[in-house]
Amino acid sequence: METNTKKKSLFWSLLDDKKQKWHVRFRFILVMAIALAAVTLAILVIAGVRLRSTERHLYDTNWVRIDTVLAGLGDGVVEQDTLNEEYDKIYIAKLINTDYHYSRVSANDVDDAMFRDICAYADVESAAIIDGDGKVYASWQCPYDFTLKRFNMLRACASVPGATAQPFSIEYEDGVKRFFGLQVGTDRVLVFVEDWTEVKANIERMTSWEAVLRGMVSVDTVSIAISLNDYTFLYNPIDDLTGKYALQNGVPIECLRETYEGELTFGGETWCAVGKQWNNAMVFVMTKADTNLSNDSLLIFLIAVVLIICVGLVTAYGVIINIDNVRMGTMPRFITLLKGKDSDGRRKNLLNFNLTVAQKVLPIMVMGILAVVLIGFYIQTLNSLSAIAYEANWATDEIGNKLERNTEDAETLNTEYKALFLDKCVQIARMLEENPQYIMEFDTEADNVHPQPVERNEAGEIVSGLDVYGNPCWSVSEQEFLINLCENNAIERIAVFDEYGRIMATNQEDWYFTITGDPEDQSYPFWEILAEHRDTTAQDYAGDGEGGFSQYIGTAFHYYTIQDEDGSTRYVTKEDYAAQLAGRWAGGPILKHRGLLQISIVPERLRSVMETATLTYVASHTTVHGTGSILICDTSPEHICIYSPDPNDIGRSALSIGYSAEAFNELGEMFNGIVTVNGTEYLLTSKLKGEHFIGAAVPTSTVFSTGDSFLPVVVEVTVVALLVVSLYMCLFGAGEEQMYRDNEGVDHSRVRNEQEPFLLTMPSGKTRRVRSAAARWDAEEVAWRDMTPDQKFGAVAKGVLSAFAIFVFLCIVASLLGLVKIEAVNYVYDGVWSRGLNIFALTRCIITLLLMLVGARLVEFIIESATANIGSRAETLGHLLSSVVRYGSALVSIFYALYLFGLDTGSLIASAGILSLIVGLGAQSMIQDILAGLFIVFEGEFRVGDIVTVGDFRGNVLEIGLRTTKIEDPTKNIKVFNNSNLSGIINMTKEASYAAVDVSIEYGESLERVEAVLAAELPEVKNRLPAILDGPFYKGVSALGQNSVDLKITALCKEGDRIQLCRDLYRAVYLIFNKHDINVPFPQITVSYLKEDEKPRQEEAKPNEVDRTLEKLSEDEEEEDDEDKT
Amino acid sequence: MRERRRWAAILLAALALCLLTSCGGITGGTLKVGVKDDTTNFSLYSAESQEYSGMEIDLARRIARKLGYGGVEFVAVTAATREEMLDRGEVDMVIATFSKTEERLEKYDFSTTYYTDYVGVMVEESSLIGSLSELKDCRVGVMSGSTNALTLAQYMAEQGAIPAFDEDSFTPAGFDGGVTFVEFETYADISRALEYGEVDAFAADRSILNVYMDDSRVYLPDEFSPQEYGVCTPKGSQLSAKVEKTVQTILSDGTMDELIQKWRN
Repeated sequence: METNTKKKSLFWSLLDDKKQKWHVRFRFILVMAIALAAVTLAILVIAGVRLRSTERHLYDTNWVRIDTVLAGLGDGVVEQDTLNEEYDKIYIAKLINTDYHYSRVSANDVDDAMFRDICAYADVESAAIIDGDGKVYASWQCPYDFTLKRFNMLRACASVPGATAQPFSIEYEDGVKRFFGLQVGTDRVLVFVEDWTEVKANIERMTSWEAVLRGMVSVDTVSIAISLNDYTFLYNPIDDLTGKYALQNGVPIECLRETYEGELTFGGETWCAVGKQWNNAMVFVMTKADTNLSNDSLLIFLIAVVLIICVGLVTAYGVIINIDNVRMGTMPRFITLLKGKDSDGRRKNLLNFNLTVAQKVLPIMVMGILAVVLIGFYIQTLNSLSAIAYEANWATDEIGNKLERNTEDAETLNTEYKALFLDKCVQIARMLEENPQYIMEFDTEADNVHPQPVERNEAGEIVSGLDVYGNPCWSVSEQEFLINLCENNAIERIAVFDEYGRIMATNQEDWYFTITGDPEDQSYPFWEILAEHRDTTAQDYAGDGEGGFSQYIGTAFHYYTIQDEDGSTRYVTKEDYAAQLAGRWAGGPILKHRGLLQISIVPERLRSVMETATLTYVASHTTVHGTGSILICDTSPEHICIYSPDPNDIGRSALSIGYSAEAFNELGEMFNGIVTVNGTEYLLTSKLKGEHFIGAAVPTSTVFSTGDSFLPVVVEVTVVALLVVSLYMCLFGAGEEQMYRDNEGVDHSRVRNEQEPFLLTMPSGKTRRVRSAAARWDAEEVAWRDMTPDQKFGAVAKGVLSAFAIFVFLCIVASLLGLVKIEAVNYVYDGVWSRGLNIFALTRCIITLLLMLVGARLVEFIIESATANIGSRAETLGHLLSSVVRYGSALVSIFYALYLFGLDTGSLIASAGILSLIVGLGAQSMIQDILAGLFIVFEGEFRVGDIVTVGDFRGNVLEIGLRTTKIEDPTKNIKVFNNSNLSGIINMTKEASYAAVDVSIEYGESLERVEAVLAAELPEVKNRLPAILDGPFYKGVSALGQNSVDLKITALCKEGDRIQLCRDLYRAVYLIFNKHDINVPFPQITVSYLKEDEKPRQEEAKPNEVDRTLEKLSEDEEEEDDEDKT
Repeated sequence: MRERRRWAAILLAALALCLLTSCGGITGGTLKVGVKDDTTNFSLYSAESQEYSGMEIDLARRIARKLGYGGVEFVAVTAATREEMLDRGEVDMVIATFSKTEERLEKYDFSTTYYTDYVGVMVEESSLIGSLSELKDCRVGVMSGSTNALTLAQYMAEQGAIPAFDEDSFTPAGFDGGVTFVEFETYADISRALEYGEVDAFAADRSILNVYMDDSRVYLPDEFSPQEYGVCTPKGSQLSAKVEKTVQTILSDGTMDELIQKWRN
């Protein structure tokens, strides 16, 4: 270090001034370059690390997600099995019922006609009865060769009494057939075959890859599946690739391993995918690589730009001050940090701290750090919030879609189940009608047989409890046959009701129940069956209000009775009744009664589908931003929670828990805001969706989960970078100190005239070099080399910040046009968010202001450059238009901002509130000014460049603004008039003016002589004074004054030359008069002295003095300066 | 500096020479390879993208590159047509799960085995056939032209499931020694027949059976008769020796393991 400085000092001392200056400049520019490069590098490194970690985060998230997806697929398989099983059960039950119904089915003399009946009864496509070898004894529509080994499954159960075959399907060309078998009789198998195509398709649709994978994960994330059998996409929503060959559509074979992590490309976009094998398929969960990254890279990019600007400005300031010090020969104030000796043993300061520089750079540095922190925090918040809002929006939509889908599924199933079970119910009823002995034969002494209580109506007539024959009615509970039937048919309960609506037999314990005719009652549809209003009813699957779910189905059931000789009631079959109708009945009269058979079922699959169709299920299976959860409230004024992350809150009013009323916007606007519920702060995004308010609540503690490590690092880098740079700017060594000392007092500046531009000292002590105040509104600028360091810095900062503003402007415009994807900007513009004091409104406000500002500047520039060279009227109009653009854009921006922040500006304007506001603020005169300005321009009273006199102020019109007019007098002072004050203007701009002078002669002088002299001399004057356009003319005597005869002489000239010409004319006339001894009278005082007579002599000397002065003047050059008013 | 440059030149020349010699004299031209179009993982043709893919396709491309051909033309063959097409010269070589048998070795040149597969038997679950012995009196679907019928019969005879028979006079269609064979033209046909119950079992190489496996089907536990797949060229063809050399290189430098690994999902 020491040798280095020594070398430097030696070297520098050899350099001449110019070289020294260049050396300093070079050194600092180098430093600046290095500093910027270093900062850029640091930012790049951080960005790289950051992007990597984001990508890592993405993969990690997807690894978690894929487990959820696989679990969902597992559920799908279970569901598929459940569904298959349920359908199978129904058909096996049909077999069993058929066996009960047709007790002769296993006999040897069965025929095909009977099987046609069976097919109709059981509602199956084909039926057959076969033995263990596959021999068909009777069949209907059954072309199958049961001797094939393919049907071993059916034949195998022939020898096992009561066995059912495991159902199996065969895919024939005309559809899928499913085979069911039941062992009946001895060594026979009753076979049903049903067309399974539709059922299979239904099941597959409900449990398909698409059903499971669609909308499974999160926004910008999809799951796809690839078959490992034929490498086709089982599901891929991107580019509609489902069913296409995967290997040539973006999935290399190498990806199809047990697990995979890496990038895949679909639809021209890169996806970060993780994959796992599952049941001979490969399942991928993948997220668009650029969605999260683009947000982050935007953040990094902006902070990097801000940081670079800050560092650049600090360095630039340091450089400017240092160079200025050298140039001006000023010795900077400094303190010595390190002292030492050089090789000659002389003491010297090795390291000095430049106070002058430090004083200036420090505030900028602090401002820079603040700016980086603020912008960083702001952008990060905006990013996170917009990402969450975006995701929440997606989630609420997805909930709606899922609900819709699940409800559709549930409806399909419900309809199918209703049909299937009604079918079953009717079968059972027919079977029991044919075989009343199954339920009607009971021992009245048994525990499960209960006598029905006898009920009478108001008139005392017996309503129920006794049958038509007067015998007591019995209710059989836990009836054995019905219990079996329930088991075989997967029915929860069966109840057979008599004509009075009372239970005759049931599989349940509870036997005391009566169907009522009350239309409000749940059992009313069943009463309608008894009343012969309808034959069947199937209720929708619904909750019973006690946590249970069941579906009630009923059909008419007829039973037939006859009174025995002993008076007791006997039940007979339908066949007997038919015999009576045919006149073949030998016994007593048979009565037909209309009862009711009611079954209730609990369809497992339907239940699970129903459950998934509920809001609660969908909500509990949706997460937002990892930790967020869903809140669902109804639209009542209390906003009762239907679903909430905390189960305790369900059923309570959302307002009472802590959610604010603004969160529930009836107009459909989205709400974003912080709410505190149960002591936890949540970021709540909510909106009205159909009949519910759906919100996504993300704990605020996790809002910045993906980016929290980033900001501190950036701040650290900023602080370190700025500190290092500023410190370096402030430190200098012995060599430079020497240079400063050598330089002291030597002014290298090339400012030729200290006066212009002159140095202006501000109240703060800073100096500016200016030409005039007009420089502010004129384009007039001080040359770079004439600027003070502060100004130079100002100019640099202004340039850099303008460039930044224009750059951001371009970015925003590009993003809005869709050329670049900046999600935050798009969200702020397209997304749904609530107005008010929030970050989105603020951002929108900033963006709008920026757009307005840059746009207005652009328009102003165009107007001004377009009108500049056309003429003064156009220029005036141009000025005016730019004013309108400037103030208009500002006004619109302010209103827009107010609107964004939630103020109702519409009504504010409508109620003329803004007008009264302006008047109230004393802006009345402003309006006057503006109107006056408009009149000035459009009536053309005067224009820019005209010479006018306002009151006693005469000058050139510099500018006509919307509110003020600026007039510059010949001494370059500018007076600013309010337009409304511009009254009684004399516009002195005309083609030519007359310069008129009055000269006086003595009364004693011969007028003829004077006139002759003037006539001879005046043409000469014209030759000497080029400003004279015509003349001078002698115009005669203008007045006979007290002391003189006044003559008028005029000359034609330009208005601008008039005043000077008057002066010149006076001078010329005076010279003429002197030449021809014509006296100009002046007041003469004759003083009489009694004794002395010398005094008058002194007074005679006066004309001589005047003469001398005049002569001197005539030697001066004549200047064409339009000077001064009189 | 100049020294270094000279060394670089020599090195470059050497490299160029190496490249040239490795081409073996064949430059450009197209190699016609007979491949299957329906065997997932080995060689599958996608009508949609009109491309072949699979382990044998990769192998064929590597062989062609090593032999110095400019490109490969794939010609779809089946077990029944591959020999004929090779005889007629419609293809230069066959890489189509073509297993070596003594009979074939007499007629064609085979390279060293690049993949060994086994024969398996697939049945429908509903047929309740659980072992090879239960296959007695069953109809077995086999690919016409393949050796699967014979090897299955041999294996069953070995296991004692069917009585011994005269192997020389064996024809799949005519065999009636405790099991019958039905020949089909495509594997898809066998699979369909199995579905309909027209045949009771499906015997083929496991690599092929895998394609037709589904939830309602099962493999019989036995695996037998290793099938050694080799690259087949006409007997005495100029290519034979070169192909053999190339295949050996591919086998020894681990490329084949890589390919097998790549296509084993």
